[in-house]
Amino acid sequence: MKSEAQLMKILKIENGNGYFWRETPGEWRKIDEIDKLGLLSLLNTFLNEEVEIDSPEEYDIPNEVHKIIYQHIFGKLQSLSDSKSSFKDDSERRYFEEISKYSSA
Amino acid sequence: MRKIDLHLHTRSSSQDKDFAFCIENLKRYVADGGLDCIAITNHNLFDRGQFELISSEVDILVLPGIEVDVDNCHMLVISDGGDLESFSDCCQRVSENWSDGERPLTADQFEGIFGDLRRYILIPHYLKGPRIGPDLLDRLSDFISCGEVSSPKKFMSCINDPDMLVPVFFSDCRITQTLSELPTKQTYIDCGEVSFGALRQVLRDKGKVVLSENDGNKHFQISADGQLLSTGLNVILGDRSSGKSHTLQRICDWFGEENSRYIRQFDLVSRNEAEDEKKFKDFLSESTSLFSKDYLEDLQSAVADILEVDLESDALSVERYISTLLTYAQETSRHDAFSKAKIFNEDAFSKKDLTGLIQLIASTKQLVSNVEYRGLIDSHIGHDSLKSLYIELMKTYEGHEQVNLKKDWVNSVVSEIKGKLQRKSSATNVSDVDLLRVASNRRKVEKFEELVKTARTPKTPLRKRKGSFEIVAQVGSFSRAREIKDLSRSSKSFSAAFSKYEHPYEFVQELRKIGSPILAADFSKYMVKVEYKILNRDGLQASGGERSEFFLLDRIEGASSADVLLIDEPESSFDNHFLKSEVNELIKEMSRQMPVVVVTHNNTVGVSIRPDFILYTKKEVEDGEIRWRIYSGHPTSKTLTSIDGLELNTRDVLLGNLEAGVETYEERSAAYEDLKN
Repeated sequence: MKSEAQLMKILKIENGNGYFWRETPGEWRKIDEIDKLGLLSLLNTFLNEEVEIDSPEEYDIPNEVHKIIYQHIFGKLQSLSDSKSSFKDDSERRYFEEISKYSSA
Repeated sequence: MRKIDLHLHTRSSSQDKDFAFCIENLKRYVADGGLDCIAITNHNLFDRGQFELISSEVDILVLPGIEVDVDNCHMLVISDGGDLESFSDCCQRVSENWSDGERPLTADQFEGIFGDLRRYILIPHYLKGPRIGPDLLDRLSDFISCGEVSSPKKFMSCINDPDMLVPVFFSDCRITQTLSELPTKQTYIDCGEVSFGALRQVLRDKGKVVLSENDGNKHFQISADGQLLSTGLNVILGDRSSGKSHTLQRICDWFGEENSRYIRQFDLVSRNEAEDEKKFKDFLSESTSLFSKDYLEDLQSAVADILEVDLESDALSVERYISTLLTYAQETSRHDAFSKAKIFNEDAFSKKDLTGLIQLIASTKQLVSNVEYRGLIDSHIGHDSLKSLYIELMKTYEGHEQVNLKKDWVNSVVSEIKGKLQRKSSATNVSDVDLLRVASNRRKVEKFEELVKTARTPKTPLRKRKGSFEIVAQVGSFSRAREIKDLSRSSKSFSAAFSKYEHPYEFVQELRKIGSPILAADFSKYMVKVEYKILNRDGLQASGGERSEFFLLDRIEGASSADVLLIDEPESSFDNHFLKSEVNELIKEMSRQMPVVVVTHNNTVGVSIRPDFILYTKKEVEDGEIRWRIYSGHPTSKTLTSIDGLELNTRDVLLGNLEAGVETYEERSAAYEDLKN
């Protein structure tokens, strides 16, 4: 288990603006610049790793556009929290027996 | 020994062709066939008047019976004839039931009609169609001791298997006016005076039923004149045009073409290379398709699963979500009271997937209830702990299920309110997206690609020996679009699809675009190449001549499903070395489970194979008339005997027929001796 300090952050609020972590090329971008690839990348990291996300409840986001987008995406990812473990289990189990069969044949 | 035939038809019914019964032919059958007891068993009917006539005309024991359709099988019900009126009444009820829609009786109806079944001899079709099913056999097991079989091979199977019923072999013959050749399918029983009671006793004992009068189960009668055949290996010898092939054909007719495996002379040798090549390819393609279907079964179910995934539409839904969210956020000026309501952009709850939990509960239940490994399980986990785990899991499941139901309810309310708010508002609606589904589809595709890659890894999942040949199935990747096209046997182009071959998900999508006749149910066979090869003893692909050898072995081996194996002059197509080293042993092995008849001129087959019975066909001219005779006997007996009592010296026959006469044999032996010296 990683300690909280080492957790990877994927959504943050700084100076009243929302940012998301873009894995490639590896930089923070403003939340209103997010596109479908950005969201898929967040989704991937969120489901596969232990991540840290700033809660919009704890920070003020005066930028109204950022606030709406940030809150929305935050809500979306939060709703997946409960499913993270079953997603991992399912991924591990998926075609496990079939792959074993064709490996050994 | 007493000879019985308890399955005879004397009245045509809806299950027969129309025929007219002939009492004279029945009397001829009883007298010439040397029968000691018969039963009259017509389909779902009993004609008391006719039965009484037969009983008075025939001077052996004639038992009243009926062949009843019950639970999709045929059952002979044979009575002692003591109370003919009562038996006739029961049969009348069977007839009435049958005439009402020709439906078989249920087991309940059958027992209801015949009452106390101990009064009868019950003989179901056992290794003979339409055969008795395990349920009915189990239900009537107290009353059934023997079962009817359709061939000597099946008779022997029952004799040799302690779990099977006592076999009986009957003619099932229609005694018609046109009956010329008398039936030869009967059973011999070892008993003194034949009576109903004696029969009932004898038919419970495998040691008391046999196929032949004097040789137990070593022989059976093949023609009305009394000619026997061995239940093992028979060799037919004879000069050209002495009636060998004719005899073989008669044997084939006796068993029925559909029950015989008849390998005719030159059958396996092609007239030309192209024909041979085609035959071999067809054989391989048929075998490949059987093996490949089996091997690719799991991959095919994964393909079916992956066909449900549409990554393109997933990407579109993510794109729509992002673009509507960005637009909605930027158009703050258009936000109104409706769009400001929190529920305006509320997402539906995603429900918890309980599949994993359900499987866990099922596994725990197995651990709790397993009897066979109870001790082992208990030594690691206490039974009480398991039980409480099971209860807790069930409670957890119940909890989750309740939450899911509540989420369902909330989702439907939210969706309804959202719809109303969105219709009133001028703000952009943020389109919904199921991110979990998007993620799990992507993961599914990754795993599918791993699966296909594993399935394509070159390997040889099947190696089977047949004689000196080896049958191998090799698995790998296709290297050209042409290979897939050939496999599909369609005129469709596979070039576009093949360009995506290295990306299995996209490849599946391309295959789907090709459409009929490339069916989704066959996609797996285009994903992985499965090749079936016949290799010779050097590990190389079999040549033309070797292919014929392989086919012969395959045809002989494939005879297991038939009742008899007939081979006509194998030496005309194959060399002695192959016959001696591969074929003889296989034929011998087959003859341990079924009658085998080989026609030959060749000493390698005729003598080295050590047959159980020799039949020597001979054309003789007597008083200007041609007579066809068969002399038969065991190869070690001094003489072979014909049905009308003539004898020939066995050694003369063998040397004359297989070695071109005593003189030639001795000359040849001397020549070999000289070479040796």
